[in-house]
Amino acid sequence: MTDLLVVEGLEAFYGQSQVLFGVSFTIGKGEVLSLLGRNGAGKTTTLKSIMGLVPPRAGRVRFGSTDITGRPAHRIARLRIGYVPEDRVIFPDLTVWENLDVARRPPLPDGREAWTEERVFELFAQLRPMARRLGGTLSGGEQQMLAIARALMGNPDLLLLDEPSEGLAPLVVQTMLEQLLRLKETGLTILLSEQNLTFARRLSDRVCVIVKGEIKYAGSMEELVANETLRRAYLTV
Amino acid sequence: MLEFFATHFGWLTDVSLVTLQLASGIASAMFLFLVASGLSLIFGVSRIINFAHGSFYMFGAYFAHTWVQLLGGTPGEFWVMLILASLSVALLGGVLEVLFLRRIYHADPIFQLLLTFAFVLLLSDVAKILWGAEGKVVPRPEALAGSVSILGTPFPRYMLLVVAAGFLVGLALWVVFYRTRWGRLVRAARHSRDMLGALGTNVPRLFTQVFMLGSALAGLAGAMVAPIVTAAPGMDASIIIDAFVVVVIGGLGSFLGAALASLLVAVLKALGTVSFPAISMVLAYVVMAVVLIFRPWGLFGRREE
Repeated sequence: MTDLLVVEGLEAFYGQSQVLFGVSFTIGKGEVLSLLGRNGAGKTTTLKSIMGLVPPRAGRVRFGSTDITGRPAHRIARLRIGYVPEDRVIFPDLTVWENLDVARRPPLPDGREAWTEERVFELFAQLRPMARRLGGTLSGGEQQMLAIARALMGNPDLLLLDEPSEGLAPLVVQTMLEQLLRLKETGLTILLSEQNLTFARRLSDRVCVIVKGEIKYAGSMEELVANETLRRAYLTV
Repeated sequence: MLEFFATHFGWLTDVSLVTLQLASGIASAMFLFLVASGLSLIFGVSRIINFAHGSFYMFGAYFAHTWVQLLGGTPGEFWVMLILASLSVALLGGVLEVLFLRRIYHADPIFQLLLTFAFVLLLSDVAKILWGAEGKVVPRPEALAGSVSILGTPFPRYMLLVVAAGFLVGLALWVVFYRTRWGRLVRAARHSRDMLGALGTNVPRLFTQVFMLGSALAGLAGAMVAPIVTAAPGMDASIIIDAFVVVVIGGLGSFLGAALASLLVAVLKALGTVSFPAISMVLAYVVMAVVLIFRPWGLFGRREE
């Protein structure tokens, strides 16, 4: 399996305080990798650093054959990385359709079927009747699905998903899980940040555990779940 | 008490005077709307309160003078001049945005205010160097000379053009912002520039484009007002105060607010000119004070979280 994303020794700061202390991991093409960790462990910052929203102070990020370290976010997005932030950031004054439209990017000439509103609505059926509603009037679960749908409109090769299950009702999480599994079947590579172990387990091929800005474990979910000590030390509150 | 009302408001029984004041109020509302909507547009996206916006209006008037001279009587020169003067101001705004403002979007607002205030002082001196301290006349186009009768009151024909242009520009802005992808990008940028950037939009370039459009609106207003008032120093200061009153009343960032507040302020000013000639803006300031007390985010603005 060829590596689609290689993160090496990533260090990042918020103001004076260091959040990431040399984060390294790789994601293979078509793989789903879960980044697990408690609140404040550095999951969000890792995703933001990859996306160029928090410029890394040290380390390297390689996407495909391109070094994207420190590039502006819009250039990184145009290389086909889709970003779904933790707080979703739906544009509240734009309709659902308009939210999708601002993220539209022409597909790369690699023969894959391009994402359109129609295809997005096939995957997220509950959004279809809401196309003309303002983003700000949607429920939390609907906004989460719109945020994912919007990222897909850029025809990404890699999707960065920051805690999609956070704050959603179990039934909504279940629906979203099925939708994400269908996305995975299309061969989309996903970097998922999560605290919800059950959710992450169903979706991911491999996991990394991040603790205080460092990767403390990388391997299979089964091994992590089986290993009581690991789980206690890094995940349970 | 009765005497006070008779002195200051007795003229309201004179139908032709009231019509004239209302009509000229509506006409000057159009200039105010063009300036205030540009100011509001720029603030909505970049959060920059641009004091130099009045200077752009003044430069629009001076550029009008220069372009009319350069065009030297070519057919339709007035219309060509309007376009060229707006583009010249757009270019001036674009250069200032790229060279200076772009560097301070993340700075403390006080630095942004100081910088745009520095522009006011610089541009006012540059205008004096380029065009001198005396007013520059811009001729009215032949076709728009003379007057028409509104309810029996003669009214300059040129002002009708101004009113029509105000409506057309307002309509065009609505179409651009609600019916084009560029407009959708601008509305999205008002909420989160980071998110829009992470979706692949070159946000700094979009900001420059927005700044240029806002500047062009001020330039167009200046070019259109030039045939009425002559281009002269001081135009910048007087319009920027009125424009700020408009955006405070209407709500910064709201087009509808800018349109309605422009009408309100300009009409109040036109009526105030007759009632209280020495303090013609007093009614508009009273409205602004009331709005600031009860609805500080403006009539159509959005409350900041």
